Amino acid sequence: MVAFTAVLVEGRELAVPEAGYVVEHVTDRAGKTPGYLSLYRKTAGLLDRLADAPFESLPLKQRASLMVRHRLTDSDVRIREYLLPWDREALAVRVLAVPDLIGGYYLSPAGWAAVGYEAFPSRCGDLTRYTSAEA
Amino acid sequence: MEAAPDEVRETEVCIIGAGAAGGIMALELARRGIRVVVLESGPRHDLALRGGYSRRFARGENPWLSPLAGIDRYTTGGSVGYRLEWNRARGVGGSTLHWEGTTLRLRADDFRMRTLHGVAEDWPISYEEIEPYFGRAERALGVAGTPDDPWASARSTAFPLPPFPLSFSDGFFAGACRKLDIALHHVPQARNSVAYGGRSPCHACGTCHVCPTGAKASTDLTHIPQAIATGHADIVTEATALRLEADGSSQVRSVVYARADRRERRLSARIFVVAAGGVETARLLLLSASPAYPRGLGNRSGLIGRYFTSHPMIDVTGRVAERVYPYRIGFSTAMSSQFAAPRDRGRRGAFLLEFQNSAGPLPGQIAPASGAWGQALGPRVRAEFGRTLGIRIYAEQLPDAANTVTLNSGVTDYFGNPVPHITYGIGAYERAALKEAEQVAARILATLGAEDIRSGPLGYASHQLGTHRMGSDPASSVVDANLRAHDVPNLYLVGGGTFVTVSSSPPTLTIAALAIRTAEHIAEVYRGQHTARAAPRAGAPAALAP
Repeated sequence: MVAFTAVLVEGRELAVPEAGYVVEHVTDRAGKTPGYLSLYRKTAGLLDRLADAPFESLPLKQRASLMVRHRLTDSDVRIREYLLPWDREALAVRVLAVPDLIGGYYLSPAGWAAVGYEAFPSRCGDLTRYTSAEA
Repeated sequence: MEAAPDEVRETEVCIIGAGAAGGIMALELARRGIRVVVLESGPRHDLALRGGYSRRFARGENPWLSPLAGIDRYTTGGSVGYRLEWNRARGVGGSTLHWEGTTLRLRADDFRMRTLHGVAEDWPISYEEIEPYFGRAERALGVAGTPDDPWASARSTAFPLPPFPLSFSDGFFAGACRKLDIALHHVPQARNSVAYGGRSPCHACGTCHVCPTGAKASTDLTHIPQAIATGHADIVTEATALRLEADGSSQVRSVVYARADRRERRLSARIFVVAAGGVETARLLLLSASPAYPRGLGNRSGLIGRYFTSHPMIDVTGRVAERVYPYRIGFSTAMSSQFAAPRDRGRRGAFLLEFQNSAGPLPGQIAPASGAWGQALGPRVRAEFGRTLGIRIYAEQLPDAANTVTLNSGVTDYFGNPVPHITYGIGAYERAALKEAEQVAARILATLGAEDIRSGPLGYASHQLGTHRMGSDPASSVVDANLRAHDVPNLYLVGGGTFVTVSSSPPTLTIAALAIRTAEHIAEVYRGQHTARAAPRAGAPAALAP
């Protein structure tokens, strides 16, 4: 899931703390929200099948082009796609797994760092910071 | 001390609920040497655990949910489904665990709605009578503020702590309000702007629903430990009151309670105080029906559970060109009471405007909705984030007998008791206030050059009020001005349920002030009783006669 999420959220390999945020999100979601453990397993299985190898063993560029080829980066699904009988697994990944992984990553400290915040909800800091523009 | 649940079988005063009202009363009584046992349905949430709670909250979880499956079950009806999940907390501290900490006083006019506006009822007490208790409540909770609200009623004491400075985004609102001749002022906060009461100053953690530092006042930190330290108070946690038992002389003799093992225990007391919140207090009395009180304990008026009232809320937002840097603190620092001030409230309610420091989508919401991915995603989120300003409206609601808390016998809780059924809706009075408030908020945002100005859905505050209201007439109220039940002289009902009308102000400071006042009354009655026993005198309350 980290190899897949890295392509989705940054388009580069993730640093160790960033990868940790993905692991934390996936572990938390799988443990607490019914259905997500199965979704993540399906996602990993699909990626390995499409890659014909362990997905995480592919270099980043190959992973990205594989995802584009199979439209796995596109969570905007048209109604007619729901009616088609094939690619049901890919559809589940696009509709459920992709927004979940992107949202989980951007809800983590990495997401707040992306908008220039060193402190963010749940990280205590300097009380006076809120009175001025962010440095 | 923290008592093992089966150790205590008898006490002088039993308080049910260790929240805002119950926690305060425990201290006020115990410091006067009166023996108190507090039964609290939820656990003690140690301060040391709250860093983890805070991180869970930031991920969208509610860490205050009860561990016992089904204990918080309820059902809803009415035109607006009032939900409880995020709107109450079970545990030592009660709703002060998750409240925002806004500590506005009611205004003098708020106590006289019938006299001044011809609607609802007047309170049986006046602002002047409760004013000293507001000051004591502010000192006990540690309220940070400054008297810059032009419409606040007169105060005899200063705020104990300096105010929180206005935020960066408040600067935008202040400019617009000046142009529109709307006065913007500080929000009084029961939150430490500097160290106070042995608690640290606020560290801007941004998760005030869970304060991980203890800077926000909650009675598990501000009152219960002091009550226990007197040596006169015990607190029994994870002990849920199931019913109160009255005898033939209209006195409550015992409370039946249970823990996770569902085994029933009894605790006897001379005086009972129910402080379980507007929903659970009403429910407990309805569950305590007996041949002497077939409609519920203390419910000869039939009003227990009626007039359930809250504060309807709407957020109005607009998108501005500048970055406004939201989500750096979890509370608001500026507001306007201009429309809660003296005005005609006969046909539409008062309302408050709260200028939000946290509005608009989070990075974790912008990113998945953007459709972007890879290297394009970060810049897209950066461009979108922090350009929304928001104004929250709190409107006044009139008490309406159709809004109720009743028992739903078709659904039971963890202990097999019928769950509360909440029927809630709003009428033309509230809709008129909300409509006017939305127009004012939109005007402020338009003055700021905001685009895409829109109103969010109708919501409601975590304020559960009016379900056992006070009054002088036993036919139209449940408790008297001292919060003593008209029908059951050794029973006191405290908390937001006692409110006759609700203004547009958050209720907690008033709940705290009334709790201090009632504790003082009980102490006087109790002392009177002891004196009466030593040397009987006329006028000793019959309720407490030996």
